Amino acid sequence: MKGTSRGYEESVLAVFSKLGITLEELPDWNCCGSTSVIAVNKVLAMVLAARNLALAEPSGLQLLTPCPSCWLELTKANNVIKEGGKLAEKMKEALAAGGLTYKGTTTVRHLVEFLVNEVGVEKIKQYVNNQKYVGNALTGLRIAPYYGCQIVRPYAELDDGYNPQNMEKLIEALGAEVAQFELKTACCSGALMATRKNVGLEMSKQILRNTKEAKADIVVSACPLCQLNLELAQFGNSEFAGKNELPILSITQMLGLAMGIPPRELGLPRSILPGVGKRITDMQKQKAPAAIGG
Amino acid sequence: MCSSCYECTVKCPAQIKITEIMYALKRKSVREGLVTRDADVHRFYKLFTDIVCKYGRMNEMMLIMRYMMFNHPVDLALQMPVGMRMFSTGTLQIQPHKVRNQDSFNKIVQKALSLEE
Amino acid sequence: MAPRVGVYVCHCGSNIAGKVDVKAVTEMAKNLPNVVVSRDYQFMCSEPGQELIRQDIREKDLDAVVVAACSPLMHEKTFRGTCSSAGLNHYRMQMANIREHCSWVTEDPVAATKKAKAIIAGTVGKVRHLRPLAEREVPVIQSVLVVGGGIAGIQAALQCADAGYKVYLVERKQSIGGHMAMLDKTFPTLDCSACILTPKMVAVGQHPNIKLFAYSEVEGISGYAGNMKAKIRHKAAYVDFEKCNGCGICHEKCPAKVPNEFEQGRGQRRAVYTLFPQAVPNKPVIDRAACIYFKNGKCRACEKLCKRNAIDFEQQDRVEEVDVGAVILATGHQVFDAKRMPQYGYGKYPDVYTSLEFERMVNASGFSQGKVRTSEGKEPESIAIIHCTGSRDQRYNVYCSEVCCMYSLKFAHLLHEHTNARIYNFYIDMRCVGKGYEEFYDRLLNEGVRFVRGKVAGISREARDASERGKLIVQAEDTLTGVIRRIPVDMVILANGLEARADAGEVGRLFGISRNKAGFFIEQHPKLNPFGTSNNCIFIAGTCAGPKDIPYTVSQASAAASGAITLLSRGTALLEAVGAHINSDLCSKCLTCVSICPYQAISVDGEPQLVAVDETLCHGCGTCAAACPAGAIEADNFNDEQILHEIEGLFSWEEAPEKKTEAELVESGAPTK
Repeated sequence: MKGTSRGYEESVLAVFSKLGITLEELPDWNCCGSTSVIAVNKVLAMVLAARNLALAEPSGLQLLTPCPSCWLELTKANNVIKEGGKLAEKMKEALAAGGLTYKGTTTVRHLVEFLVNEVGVEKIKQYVNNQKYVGNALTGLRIAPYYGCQIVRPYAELDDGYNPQNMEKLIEALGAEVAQFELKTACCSGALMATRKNVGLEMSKQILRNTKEAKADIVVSACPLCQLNLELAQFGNSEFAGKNELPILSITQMLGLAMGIPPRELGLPRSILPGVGKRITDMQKQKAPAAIGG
Repeated sequence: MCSSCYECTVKCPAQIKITEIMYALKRKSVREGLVTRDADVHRFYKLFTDIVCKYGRMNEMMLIMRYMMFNHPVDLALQMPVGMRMFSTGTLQIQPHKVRNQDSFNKIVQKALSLEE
Repeated sequence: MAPRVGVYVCHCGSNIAGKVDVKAVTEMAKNLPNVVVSRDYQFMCSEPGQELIRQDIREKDLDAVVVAACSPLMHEKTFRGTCSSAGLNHYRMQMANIREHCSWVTEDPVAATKKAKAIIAGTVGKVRHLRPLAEREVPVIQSVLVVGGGIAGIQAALQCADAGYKVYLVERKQSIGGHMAMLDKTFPTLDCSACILTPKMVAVGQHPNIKLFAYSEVEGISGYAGNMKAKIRHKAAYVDFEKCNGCGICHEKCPAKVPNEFEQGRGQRRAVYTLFPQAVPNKPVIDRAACIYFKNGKCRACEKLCKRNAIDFEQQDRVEEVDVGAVILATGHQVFDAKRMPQYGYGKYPDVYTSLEFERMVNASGFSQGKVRTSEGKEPESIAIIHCTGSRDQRYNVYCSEVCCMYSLKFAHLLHEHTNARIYNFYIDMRCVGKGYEEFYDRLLNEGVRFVRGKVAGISREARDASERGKLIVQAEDTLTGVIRRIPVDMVILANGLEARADAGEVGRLFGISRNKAGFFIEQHPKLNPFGTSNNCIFIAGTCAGPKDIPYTVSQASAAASGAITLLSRGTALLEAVGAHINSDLCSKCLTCVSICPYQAISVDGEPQLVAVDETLCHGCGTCAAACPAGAIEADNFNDEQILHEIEGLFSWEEAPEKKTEAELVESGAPTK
């Protein structure tokens, strides 16, 4: 996530450092191929994902990924290897050509579920309540949990596929209100925003409209591409201008704000929508003067 | 047009892996040349794949530029404000990031391509 | 004297002859030890085929017969009959399965022929040492146990009772009637369900031959075919049914209110309650969990108000044993839990109803007094009925529930009568197979119901424009026009399917009846005996055997009753003669066999201790014989000598001696090897 999701990456590093969890960036990781490579070449797509699995295996550490699409492709590749068969053999052969082997022991985790199940809501609460920067608290704000599609489908591990609750748990742990909305697992359109812009815009806008109906102040997204798309759908669009603009935060950006990490360190300035950090501070001033410590 | 949201796969009462079939259809249509000049979503996928194969990592600027420059110049022009914004926030990389072990990576990619059915 | 064996190889048309070289096999059989005649024929089970066997038995003085053909499950009975009619004890006939075990499962004809030869040689080896056995005749108790008081149990009970037999009808709820009592109207005649059911219920209540045990459950069953003891637990109702006259004052005045299960949780009942107004027996029971007295010692209003002193808070469960000759299982079904399909919003949106909830809503004595209203009390302007909820789905129930299309049409009709709403039926196929069903569908088409052929993908509240605001949006593809539809409605009714009861496994275990993958009881033969089971005195009827409509249920119930009546009318039953015998000289009283017997047929008693097999309970399975460390147990016609000869036959057929004349075979002292 060195490119368009740079902000997300910064927030991940900042939050995990505060939580006291060491993240080792997978040395020499490569792009997993997401939904694009598999539309051109199946073996290549699986091999790209498998290379990351193979690189992670020797360390014995869990492979944590903040992106649902990567998580999906990595899990898919892992399943193929575990089940065996022709494709698995081809994948192993390709990896061997580059001097890599993979036995199938790497566990893949997604950031959202990791935070809830490994780190735990209780631990996160501690950091929220202990934070010094009272001005960053999220109390009184309504946050809409937007999961998107690939984190709950087709593998809905460790959360319900139709009505996931992990993000709600995190939002509540941070002291904010959950703005529940219908389309929380609907697709933002993914790559269609670039290739079929008219379709993509409509899909993303529908989601934004639905969160507005739920009176959300902020939308938190589990996926960097969803975050980008929901921002793009608002950029330069009069429907979402001014007061109607919805700041889109990534999970760790939201966590970081509640933990008292300055917005700059969370990559907020890198959002497509200018002035997200200030917008949120204004919201807080309006909604929860008490939280700001008067 | 499939965005791989997997709704169909999860909802299918016969448990057919429809999304995977969509991917297969996409691959097939490219292989058999069943694409038109206007419906050029496949170009996007191919460009994506080419960039990943070359560098091991994605470079959005390269992808968007190559995809839109000559085929959708108007759209590209309309995207300028967004591009400028991304440039100014440091999220648009001009220099592509690369994988370090190029040699090993290339060998893997070549082998994978040769094993495709 | 050396046994004289006849071998009969059946072609079974091309089933065997198409794969196995039957001529070669028959030839080989001639050379097997003790075989005096070996024939082949197109269809051994046919009359001419059987006559061949009979003639040889008589003219060639055969002592044992091998029929190499299909599985004994098919024709063992046939050929046993053939032998005994010719004067040969039918336990000296054994079938060699060269069809299901050979021709049907082997690809290579050469290999199949070799295998057939081996099987026959083995069977010949054994059959030479078979002993004649005789079946025991036991009296059959002249009463029937019917488990379950829904329409299936009611019909079966009435049929048996009218035929003059004593019936014990056990129903776990406090009233009979089952699911049919919950329905409003029945398709396709639109008869009021209670109106056609209650006469039968009353007939049960009044029948001199039927002992109705309501609020009771069968706890145990023991014994053997035709002679069973059933242990029935009469649950404590805290109401003395003898004293109670059903006046109803107790449940009128009871202050405790809880959700009413009969109304599918949408209405309320009291802690002391009857199931519905036409209940049989019309006696209330007290729900311990809801009763104020049982919870904190106060109230007792019912006791004070009851003029007959019928309330008895000290009542205990009572266990009773009855003797029965046959059992009919009619335990019914449960409906698919719609919460398992979250995409339909059941439990999330208040205006999504299941089929039974709707039945109760539209029923005049239901929670809504027959008025069709949304949860906000308004008349719905548009209603969607969704077929195949939970059925025909690999993720839930793979099978079709058979009744949902018809009851969905019925709902559409009732809605057409009760409201002015636009009605949509979303279906995959229209399954209207019964008498008058397709005509009912035609009627609906003329009533202006809108049919959309497409399984509903999901129900959502996401409104995309003003017309959708506040509505439930049904998303489905109209496959006949190829358009994806978003239809806003006020109410959704899910046609959830039928499935086996959650505790069907326990009932199956109790009675020893197996269930299929979906959990329904398995019939003796899916085509030719859908009401019998592997146990010849236990029958099944109704939805416990699979989803079905009321006419099929009633037919099956009467069929099950006829099975029971047939068993009982003979007065006696023949017990299979094959059993196990313990040689007390070899028995070391380790008691391994006692615990291992699946039928609890072995017991130890007497002074000095004797371990013995109860011949009536023994099924001849051979488990004890295999388990006995001392080799003290012998299973009839499966003793060590017989089995070893079969094994030797299997391996030594290739070394069969040269073709001998019949005279030589008879004169030679037929080698035992």
